[in-house]
Amino acid sequence: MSAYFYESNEQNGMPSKQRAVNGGHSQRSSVDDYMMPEEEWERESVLDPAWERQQKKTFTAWCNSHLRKVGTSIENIEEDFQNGLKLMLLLEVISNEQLPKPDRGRMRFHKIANVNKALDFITSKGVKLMVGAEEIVDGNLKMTLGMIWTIILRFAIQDISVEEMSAKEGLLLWCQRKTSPYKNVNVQNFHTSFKDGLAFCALIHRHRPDLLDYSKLTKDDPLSNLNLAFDIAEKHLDIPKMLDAEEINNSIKSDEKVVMTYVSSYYHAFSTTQKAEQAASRICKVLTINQENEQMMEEYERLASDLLEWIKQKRPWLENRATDNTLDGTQAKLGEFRDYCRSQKPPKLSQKAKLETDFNTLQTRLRLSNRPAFTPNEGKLLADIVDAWKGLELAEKGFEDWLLKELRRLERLDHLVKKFQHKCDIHEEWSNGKIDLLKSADFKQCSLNDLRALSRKHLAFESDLAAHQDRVEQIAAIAQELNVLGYEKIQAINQRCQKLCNEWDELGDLTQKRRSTLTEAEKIVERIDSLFLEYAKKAAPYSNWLDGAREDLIDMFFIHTLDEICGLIEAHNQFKATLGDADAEYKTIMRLVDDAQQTSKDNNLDLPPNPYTNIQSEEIKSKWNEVQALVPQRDQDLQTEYAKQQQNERFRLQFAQKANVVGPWIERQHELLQQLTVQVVGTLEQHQKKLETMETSAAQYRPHIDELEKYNQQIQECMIFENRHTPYTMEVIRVAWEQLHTQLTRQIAEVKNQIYTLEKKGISEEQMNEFRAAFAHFDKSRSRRLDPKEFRSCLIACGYNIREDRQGDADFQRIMANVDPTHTGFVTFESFLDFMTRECSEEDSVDQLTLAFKTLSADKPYITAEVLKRELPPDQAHWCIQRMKPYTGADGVPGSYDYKTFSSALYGESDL
Amino acid sequence: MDNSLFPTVPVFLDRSSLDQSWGFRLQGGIDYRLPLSIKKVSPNTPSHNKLYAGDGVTAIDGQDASSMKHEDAENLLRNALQIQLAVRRGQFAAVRPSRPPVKFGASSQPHVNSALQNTTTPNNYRRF
Repeated sequence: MSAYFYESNEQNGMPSKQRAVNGGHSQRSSVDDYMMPEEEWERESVLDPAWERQQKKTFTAWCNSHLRKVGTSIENIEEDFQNGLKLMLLLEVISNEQLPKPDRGRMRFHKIANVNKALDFITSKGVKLMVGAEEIVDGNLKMTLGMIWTIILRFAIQDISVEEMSAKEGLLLWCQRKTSPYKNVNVQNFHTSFKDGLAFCALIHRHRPDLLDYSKLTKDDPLSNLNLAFDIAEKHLDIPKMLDAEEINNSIKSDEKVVMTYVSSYYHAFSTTQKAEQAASRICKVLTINQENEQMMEEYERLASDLLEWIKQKRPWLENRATDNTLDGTQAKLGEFRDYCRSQKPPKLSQKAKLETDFNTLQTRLRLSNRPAFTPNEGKLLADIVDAWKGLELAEKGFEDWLLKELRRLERLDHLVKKFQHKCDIHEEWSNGKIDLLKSADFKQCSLNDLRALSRKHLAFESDLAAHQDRVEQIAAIAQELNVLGYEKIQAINQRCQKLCNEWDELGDLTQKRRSTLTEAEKIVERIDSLFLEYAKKAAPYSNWLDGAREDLIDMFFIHTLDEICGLIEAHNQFKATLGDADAEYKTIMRLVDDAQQTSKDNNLDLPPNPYTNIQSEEIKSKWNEVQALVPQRDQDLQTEYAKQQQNERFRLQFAQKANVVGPWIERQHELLQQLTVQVVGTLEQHQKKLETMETSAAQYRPHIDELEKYNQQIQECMIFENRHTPYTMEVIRVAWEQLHTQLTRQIAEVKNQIYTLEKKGISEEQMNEFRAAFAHFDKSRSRRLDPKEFRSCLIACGYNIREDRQGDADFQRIMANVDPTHTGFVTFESFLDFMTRECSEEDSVDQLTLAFKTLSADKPYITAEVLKRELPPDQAHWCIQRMKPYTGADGVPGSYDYKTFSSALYGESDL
Repeated sequence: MDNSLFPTVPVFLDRSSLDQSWGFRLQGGIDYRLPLSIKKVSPNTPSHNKLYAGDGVTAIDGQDASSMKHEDAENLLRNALQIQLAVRRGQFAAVRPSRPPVKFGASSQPHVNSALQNTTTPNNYRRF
């Protein structure tokens, strides 16, 4: 037993003890042989005094850097470990494990027992140790240093096994990688390579560039470099000074063990920083997702409130059916409605579409980041918005119908009132003074002839009266219709009508009375000039006919179609055909007058007034002339109206021709879109491009719709209500057009979501296509959604074992609740994709986040605002501090926060 | 969801002190818009073999849990030494695929294997 040494477990070969006895222990004296992880500690050989001094200083500092954590230290390395107590403490600190209880006594054998406990612990870590406890208790410096080196190698360096190399090589590789970007540094070993201090500075700068300016350092000032590195490491990295700058610089070849010990402290200091950075970035990722999601939720709620508020404002206006009974007012309303349809509603419709796509995007994001699904506040669900929108459109439809109906009613009223006034005017003109005449007692002073004349005159009046019956009935009928149509100023109409009817009744009564009076007197009346009589007989009805004809000729018309105007023209032509007979009658009457004049002239008499009638021949003459003049006038009016109806027909055709082009175009676009949605050919990006091309062409088609709107407005302004030239109405076109837009927008958003999912999940286009193929296979109705039965078959095809029993039903119900949280009864491709791509491992997000916070807080169960502010970006640190609860554990410090509850709460969970 | 598929089970838990944890993770609550449920259960705790991951919590100490906030449920559980729960067993347990999926190539025939439509005979089902 001439030497002790340790060797790693991996070594297969000659037992080291035997080798030592054989004196083969000096075969590897070259310390540059880094491929050999183990080395030997020669008991006999003399250690270079300079190396011994270096080791003693460095190892002591290293031990103290750990012992200070438990509030103790050593001063003299060969003495302070003699009783084994601090040695055990050191091992406990660096291994973070409990050693057996030390013996309390102060006797030598107590010390030996304690040192042995420490040595046993080291041996239990897979290190063969060839040092006797006695040598430590006796204060053998060389053996003590050897033992400490073994501990350093095992606990501080061996774990740095970069890519399964030996401990020393691992540490060397780490140094090389970290310093490779730096000029004047080439780490090849642990002595000369570190001599000028630049390697230390490079290591510091690589990890904490804030601490020194590497570009200002030169090779020529090794002492300053070394001291700079040692000072900074002590001050900022909490690594005590373990090396002496001058000794490192002056010795030709320093002891590599001391440099390794010191460098390993760098490694551990920086690896902690790195871990903290990783933890911080993980927390940031999680928090950013939460913040973004919250923003999206707020945005959704804001948009939804906005839209609902707008609908709430518009609906009462659309539901208001109060009329102001004027044509102008109603026309103005129609204009307002058109403005609503064309400028106010479309932006709101796209807002609605945006809301739907935003909602789906948000849900996808929430699912992808393992967060609870988003349910909007009460009354702001998508379904609520769809309902409100439907309500709006219902009100809108009723509103337009009502407006047009109201317009027609008001037009008709206007027409009827004018007609009524006109007929009344004519009638009143006729009836004016008739009552006085009927009441007059003129016959009492009359001669017999006159009396007979009066009687005859009265007869004529009676037929005149009978002839007027028709008109009075017409007037009453018009008044009745005005009542039915709810004319606003009906009272005046009714009054006038009543007065007219009363007068009419009175006329009838008076006529009868006068007739009986005259009949009584007739017995004394002689036969009057037959000529006059004949004139009177003919003149009265003829005059009446003239009145009627004149009335008909200036009668107003109210029509909507070409057929109607043709009817009127036909009637007028028939009337014109009777003019020949009328002319003959006129001539007959005039001949009677002429004959009478001739007769009186022949007899040298002044022509007495015609006792049988007060209708003068001049009157008939003028009326006849008037009627004749009115005929061409009427011709012209009818032609004008005919032209207007022709123009209306042209407008109809204009609208119809355009609508017959626009309608099928939109239908084709719908079919194209349908084909595109059923089958995706090529990559998603290509698909998105196709959809966007369609969107562009739709946008370019917009002027055609506008043109059609213009024609439609023309039609409405001309009061044209039917159009048999086209099956399309503006309303149908508008709906199809808006649907095309909405669906395009939705499809594009869906594809974008799929692309987002693709990127987020990292699944390949090929996998995506497989999901799509599976979905399409079961989507029998090509509706881009599966009903529960189809979905169940699809799941089974995708490998889910869903049995046909209660358990299977239960499993399926759960999945349905997952993919269709709002109970629509259908599964969209997006939610299907989402479900299929959800990470199967179901990694525990809460635990991951908690672990990240734990790393930041250096394994403490709480975290302080200071740490959060140091490790996280300001706004995320602020976000955390606002939401974290104070830590309540007994081991907390003032102002500490509970990150565990916070992490759980982010996902709606808590450990109980 | 048809709740009759998940029988309601009464579960009684007790523990020796408030410092001992119940040993399960509670998820959801009306404020999270998720039903209250058991996310996971730790072995060798008062909840072990009594509660199971995926159980839906319907009542806590006789109080209806369907509209309970997470915090309220949490406080009830934290401050009790004994607790009577009612859970729907397995209501929210995750379902996972147990077989490789069928390939639906774009070129595949539109016909469907009848076994796919007729799920009563899942064992006849094979790849095509």
